[in-house]
Amino acid sequence: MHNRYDLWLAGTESLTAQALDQLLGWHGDAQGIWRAVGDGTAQGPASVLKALRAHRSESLLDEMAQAMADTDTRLIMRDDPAYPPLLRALEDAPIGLFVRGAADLTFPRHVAIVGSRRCTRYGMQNAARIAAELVACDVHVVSGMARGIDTAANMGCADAGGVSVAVLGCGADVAYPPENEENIQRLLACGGAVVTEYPPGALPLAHRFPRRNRIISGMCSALVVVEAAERSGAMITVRCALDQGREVFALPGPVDSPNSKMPLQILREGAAMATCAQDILENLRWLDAPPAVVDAPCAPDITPAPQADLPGLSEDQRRVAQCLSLEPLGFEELRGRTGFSVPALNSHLTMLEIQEIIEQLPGRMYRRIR
Amino acid sequence: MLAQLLSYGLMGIEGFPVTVEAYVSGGLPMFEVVGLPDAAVKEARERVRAALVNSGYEMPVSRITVNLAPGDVRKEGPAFDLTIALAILMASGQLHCAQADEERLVLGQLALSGEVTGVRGVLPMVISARDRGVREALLPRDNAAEVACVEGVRVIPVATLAEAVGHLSGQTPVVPQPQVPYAALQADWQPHHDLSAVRGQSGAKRALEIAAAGGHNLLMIGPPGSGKTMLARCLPGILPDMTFEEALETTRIHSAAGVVAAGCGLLAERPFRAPHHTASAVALVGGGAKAKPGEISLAHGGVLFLDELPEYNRPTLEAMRQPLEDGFVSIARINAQARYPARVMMVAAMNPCPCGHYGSQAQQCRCTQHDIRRYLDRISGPLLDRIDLQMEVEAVPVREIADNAPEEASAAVRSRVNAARERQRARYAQAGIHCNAQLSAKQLDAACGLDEEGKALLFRAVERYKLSMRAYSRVLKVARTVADLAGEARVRAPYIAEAIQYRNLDAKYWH
Repeated sequence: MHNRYDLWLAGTESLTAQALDQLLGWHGDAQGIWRAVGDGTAQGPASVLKALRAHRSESLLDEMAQAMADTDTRLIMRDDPAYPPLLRALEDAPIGLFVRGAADLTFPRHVAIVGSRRCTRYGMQNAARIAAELVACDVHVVSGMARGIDTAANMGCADAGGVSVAVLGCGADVAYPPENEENIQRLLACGGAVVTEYPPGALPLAHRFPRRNRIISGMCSALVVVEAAERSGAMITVRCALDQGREVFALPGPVDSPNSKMPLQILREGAAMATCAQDILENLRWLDAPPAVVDAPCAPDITPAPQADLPGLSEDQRRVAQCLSLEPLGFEELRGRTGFSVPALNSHLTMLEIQEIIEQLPGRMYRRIR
Repeated sequence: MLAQLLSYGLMGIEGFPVTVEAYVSGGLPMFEVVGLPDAAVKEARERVRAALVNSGYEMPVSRITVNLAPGDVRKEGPAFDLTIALAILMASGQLHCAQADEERLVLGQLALSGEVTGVRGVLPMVISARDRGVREALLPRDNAAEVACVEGVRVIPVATLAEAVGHLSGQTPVVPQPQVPYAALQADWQPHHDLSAVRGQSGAKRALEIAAAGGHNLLMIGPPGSGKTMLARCLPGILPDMTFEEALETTRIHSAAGVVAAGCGLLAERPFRAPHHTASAVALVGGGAKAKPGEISLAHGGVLFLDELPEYNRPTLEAMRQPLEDGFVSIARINAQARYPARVMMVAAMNPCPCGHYGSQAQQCRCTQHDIRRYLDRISGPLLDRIDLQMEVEAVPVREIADNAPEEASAAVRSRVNAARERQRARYAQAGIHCNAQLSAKQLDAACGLDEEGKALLFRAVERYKLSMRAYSRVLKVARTVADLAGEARVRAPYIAEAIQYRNLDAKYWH
């Protein structure tokens, strides 16, 4: 349990772990620092003291405590046993974490999945798939809940019924981006947690996001990069992970996609390849128990055999199905290959879609899913 | 002396009689026009004076009063020039009408040289005049073709003031404009844009055919350069032939708005209007101080094409919902009221995302999911609900463009569309509607006659695609049209299956 003065320390953004250690050395505990700052006898860097003095107000503390009570947020200080152990070991560990939700942050198996906000369908699908596979192997998935890959990973985990941790760059009660309001509720309902080092009400300012990335990689044993273009924010997380000595994985993308640039680059530089949860677990030697049977929505190795027996289809429908594979094909191309008239092809496609043998993608593309 | 001639004014798309009286009397020389004239009518004084002199007549040096009756309705525009000039000539004794007692209408603008130039609204004014018993109409030569199809009026095309005087005095009668039957106009007609010029795109062409056959509104989604605009422009060429009544009604609106080209007769081709996306609500639905028709009325009987749909102002698009539903626009202003027909097929085109390449194989899309959603959210649900067919247009690979395989011509498609419309007309003779797009939810079930297989398929589709009630009836309407194109009385499963391919794109874009 935190005390009132911890809240004061954790709520002071510019107070780093080293500065706090110094202060504690001189003044004993949080209450000692409070008293010393109050009567002007505190020692330490002037900027830190100034910030502490600015926040030293009982009414401010009351306000914060109230906001935390309203959103059911707890504060976990560094010396609290509930503090993520991997994170505690870091030099620049956050002095306190504001946590909403029931997730156990001391759980030994955390894996982070991060990637670009400007992602493709391929990236989102695979981020969600790997997250779901990890859930099946009893792993908690950590991400940043940003648009794109992060949300896909967080929600992929939650949708698979797993515990997902979202590390935010703003207060735990602030929904950013706005569509996250609903996502966060879903995540909490699945036993996940929202974690941040910023006090309730903290706005999503640009400088806070790169800093929260160190928490994402810091509390996990491994980091998986799904899609990242050149100079993507995900690279900051990769750098943090390398500095912290975490295992870095990358999911390879199509070689001609700008979003594959960073994953392929770090693979070349020695990162491990992650095509499925198995790759990650093996590398981390977490495979002591037999791997759980993964029943993901789309496992990576479905290559429908061209002659696969599809019962219940007419001869014509089977012909259309056989022209399609996992690789999407456009309507006109498909018409050229099958030779059907437009009305006939349209109606065959619907029948195949309804039976969930094919799916339609944006741009009037079709592909086989079964 | 006093003289009197009949002219017509325009209110909306109806004409109203205006009696032009001229009184030339002694007194200080002056020239006054009374009877609520607007600025353009007042300026007629200068044009009439110059035209009279330059045509070799005399402007009487006396007190001239011209009255436009009824005195309590505002008169607009330069169409009274010729009438005023002739009335003055009669009042000053320079012109004696050979058949003074005949009901005769005179319209026309004067140039300073005495030439008679065209005016707007000739067709609606002549129709209104004919209905009130007018037998002869002196009109500018530029406007004569416009009324060539109207029966019951002798049209005298004049090019100069002198010609008009010669005709009225009986010295050099002008040969009346020969009647042109509408059938002849229609036989000559060739579509401006033929479908055979569009390479590939068989899927999109099929959707276009269905839309034309059932009168459905259509939304095309595709990357830039995929041919959406070109496809839309081909639509008038495959719509069913215009009946004489339709042509008359549409031309009447065009004439009132002054957009009929000189020398152009009744419209034989359905109109295609493509207002730019910066258009205001008034420009689209009509309005202004004079309650003028908007683009949606100018497209009456034809196609209203909205390119880059999300770029339109949202209130502008919302203003179109009621006319799209009712098929007419009622405009009320302090000084003018009008009701314009507005039965159009709305065809809209848009990119799938702000950069235009979402879902494209050729180019990588640079937009975030959020960008795409925000872009698509600019189109309101109620407007989308009025669009029965939504289809994606793929970019055509270059090799297909270069390919010289013959493509089907518009005329062949049009004959199928005509046949399908004929079937609908026969079926809906009692129901008071024209095409499948106008079916109400109640009429829909009776019109479709689903069999067990069809019902089962629809049921599965509703489950699989989570179709809303609205989406469901849209699918059925389109399926009805597909069956009409196939010449079937009942809507069977394959037609429903095809219609589902043109359903709301919710699953992919509106998520």
